[in-house]
Amino acid sequence: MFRKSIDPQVLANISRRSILRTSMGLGALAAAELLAGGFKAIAATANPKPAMAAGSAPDQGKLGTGHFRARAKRVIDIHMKGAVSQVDTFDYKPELFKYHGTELPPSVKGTAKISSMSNAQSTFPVLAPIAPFKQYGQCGRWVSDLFRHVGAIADDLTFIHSIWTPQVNHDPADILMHTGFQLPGRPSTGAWINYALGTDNANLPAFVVMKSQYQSAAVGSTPATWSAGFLPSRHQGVEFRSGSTPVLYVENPAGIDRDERRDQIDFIHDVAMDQYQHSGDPEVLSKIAQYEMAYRMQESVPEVTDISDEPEYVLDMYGPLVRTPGTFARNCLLARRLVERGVKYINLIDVGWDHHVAIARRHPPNCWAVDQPCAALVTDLKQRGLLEDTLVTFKGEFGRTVYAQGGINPNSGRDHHGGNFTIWMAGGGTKPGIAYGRSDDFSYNVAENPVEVHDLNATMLYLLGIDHTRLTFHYQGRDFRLTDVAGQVIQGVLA
Amino acid sequence: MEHFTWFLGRFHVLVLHLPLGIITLAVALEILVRFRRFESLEGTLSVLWAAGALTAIATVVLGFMHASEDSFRDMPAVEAHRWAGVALCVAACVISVIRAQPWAANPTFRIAAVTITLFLMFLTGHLGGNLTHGDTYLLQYAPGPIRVLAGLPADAAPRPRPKDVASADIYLDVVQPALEQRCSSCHNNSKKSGGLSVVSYVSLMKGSTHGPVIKPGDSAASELFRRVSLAPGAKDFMPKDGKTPLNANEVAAIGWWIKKGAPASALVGSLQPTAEAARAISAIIGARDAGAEQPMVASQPADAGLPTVPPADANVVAEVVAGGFIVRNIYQGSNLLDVDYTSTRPVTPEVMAALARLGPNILRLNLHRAGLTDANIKTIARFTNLRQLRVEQNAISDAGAGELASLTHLTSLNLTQTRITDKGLEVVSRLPDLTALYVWGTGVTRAAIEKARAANKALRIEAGLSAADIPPVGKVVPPDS
Repeated sequence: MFRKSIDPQVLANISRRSILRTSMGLGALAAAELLAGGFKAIAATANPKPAMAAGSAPDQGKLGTGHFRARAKRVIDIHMKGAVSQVDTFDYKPELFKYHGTELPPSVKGTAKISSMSNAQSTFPVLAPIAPFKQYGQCGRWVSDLFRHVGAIADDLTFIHSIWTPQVNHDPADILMHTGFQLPGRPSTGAWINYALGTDNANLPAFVVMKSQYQSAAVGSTPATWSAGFLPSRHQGVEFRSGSTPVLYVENPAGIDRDERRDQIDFIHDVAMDQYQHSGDPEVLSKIAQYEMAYRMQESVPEVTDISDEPEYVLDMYGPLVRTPGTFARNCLLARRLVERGVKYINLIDVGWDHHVAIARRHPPNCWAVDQPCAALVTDLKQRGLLEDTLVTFKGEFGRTVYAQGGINPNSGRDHHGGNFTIWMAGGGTKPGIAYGRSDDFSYNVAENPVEVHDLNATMLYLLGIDHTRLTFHYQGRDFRLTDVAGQVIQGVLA
Repeated sequence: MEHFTWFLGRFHVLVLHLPLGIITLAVALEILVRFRRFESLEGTLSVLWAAGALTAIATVVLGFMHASEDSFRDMPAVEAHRWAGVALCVAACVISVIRAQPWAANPTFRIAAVTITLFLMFLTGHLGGNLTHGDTYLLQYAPGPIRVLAGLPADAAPRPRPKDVASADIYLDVVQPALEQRCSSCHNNSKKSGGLSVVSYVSLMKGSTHGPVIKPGDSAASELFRRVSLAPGAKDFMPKDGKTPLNANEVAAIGWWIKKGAPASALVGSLQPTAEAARAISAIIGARDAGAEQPMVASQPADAGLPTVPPADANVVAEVVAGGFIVRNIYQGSNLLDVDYTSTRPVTPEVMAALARLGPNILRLNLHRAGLTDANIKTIARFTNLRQLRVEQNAISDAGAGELASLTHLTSLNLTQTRITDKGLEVVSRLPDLTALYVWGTGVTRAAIEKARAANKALRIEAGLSAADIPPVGKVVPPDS
């Protein structure tokens, strides 16, 4: 039962008497002292109820506070699943208009592995950006007309043009970006942060996931990106849905009122704790914590998802789609409302960006649906004073190729491209109005300051006050971390 | 071949436990067999002595191999241990051989043999122990009278833990304990590897056989600092042989101590510590108290100018937490607090009173939507260490905003969706350190904001957007519809 990996929180939650009652008796006390960093700590926090139980202090996480002073208190992670084309949006390469239809030079294309969907092509002609670019703001950032609202706030944003990924397909790249490993099973960024720092609002989950639901898409989201992996399961992201029941399975069935539910949970709690006293299985605590969280969410979630108190002009900021539940625009507004209430990590996932065919026709509506809401979210956070300690990131799992998939024709598409792509960040201690790193003139390779996915996650943890090398979880015989064995904080993007 | 000898030699410290145990048992039996009850054990004694002698021979052979390592060369303490060990081995052999002789049954002879063996064993063991652990190891925690008997200063009590960084003594509280803990097992007065002993300031400054290891004022030219700050695994890195090295905080503190002239004693406060040095020292003295892992300083952002405060009272923190707050230290090891109000109910006067007792420790305070009134602001206005304050969505008027003039260290102030007007803005926009002020959703006018911006160029005032700034949504159409 007592392995070195046992969460001290769990040890702290085991009452002294329960340890004595087990067959190990006093020997276990000595072990507990060694493992939990002193019996004093246990005695001080011994509490037969789990940390998340009603009336007790909110969970402050494994670390309690950062290794160093945090600049960001929370994160909004915006992910465009399927991959935004950097060539058509944020990575301005004026020469490409001139080279439209000409073969991508072999010296640029190199010998790097490309997706099997286009590697059989005999030619790789350059497809010019599908929209014109304009310069925005004091920083003079070039952004395409597909993201004119985001362009308008360029002075608040930090662009990274030199991020790259070794993965060539959606889920592996997405899972790598969100868990530090390309296969499912490791904890996601939100789960790690929840595990490390706990919550700032005991009535809402600390890690919320919202997916756009207005379009069907071949390439959808994968739960591996909001999984708790091997961390205790209560750290998993909680999915908010559109419609009358934002969170599934938390409402009471017909005929059961809130008081009855409370009695029920209390009873289950007692039975479960009895079980826990014998087994010490931390998943029992997770389960109880989830019952309690669900009970509190019966009140807190309707309050946060009811937007009737938002002024008309604020709704207008987010664009016309904000009035339709389940849209990316509505989710941006909800993200702001959750951030105001102290939710630490929000993952907004938009799907349907994988335009191998007819990108010129299919990319613009997607951009239109997210451009204004993204910009409004940043602007709204800024005017409310929340941007200074909220980190917003906008990214896809990779970029798209500068060359046309399927040749130059009205149905040209762009294939997956991991060699370089563009992401942007705002707030939370990032340096506004700059662009970090550079791609080559064809937006096909990193030319300057390469950024790995692990570097991005290391930087995010850094902004939250966490040293990424010291946030670990012992599992299957070794310490795991979000950045695996890599990751360097990107000093150039820090304010 | 030499290395193989050294390899075998290291088994000395393992094998030596065999003669130690066997001879002890033999001695005990020699005494016991005097009593009738144990007479029957007499026969086992010859076997025990023989085993003791054989393992002692093995130990001595391995010991000679071990002592041939460079680091033991020309050390008087090694020689003493060596010859004491040889004498013990000889004694064990002699006893083993002659005890079967009839004349050796003489009790006087037996007692003399046992006494000599026992004495030699303790002597050898003690000398060897000193070699491994340093000569201060045995009596480090001994009671005063025993230390006096051993000729050591009676006052072995550890120095009282310094209250804060400023009142810590850089050498006595920081550098000396670190060297004592990590270096003195090889660099003590009897072992003196390389001729260096770190057990006292005098011996440390005397240096090694190659000269001084500390050059006051210049850490880069100080051999000791160079050796401990190399990458672990580097050829010259200290400590050797995978022993636990100094941590990053200790290395930083030692480097700073040398830069400050390597004084034999000086309060940190009197040396004007840099932010990094203060953080490292704070982590060292803080962690010793808690017995916890020391936080690293390497990648910390510069926090120069943050106030030094004593830790907050845990009972008051508990009271505040019970009242609906989340209270965290701003980072591990800091006494400054980051406080968020998370309850959906208005904050009560009792909880505000408890919060007031944490006032000096609070660096960042979030009281958004807490049902605050101007009276509550009076309390907050006494938290003069505040850097960031969020009081948005509360019924605060200009009178409340006026109270905030006392928060002269404030860098960020969020007054959005409060009832302040131009009058309140005028007061808070004059706060000297303020760099970010949020007044969206208040009665503040654009004209007043322009005026305040002109008066305080370092201040960024966020007024946000109003209904007039947002185009009506009806005109926006999707590009392909």
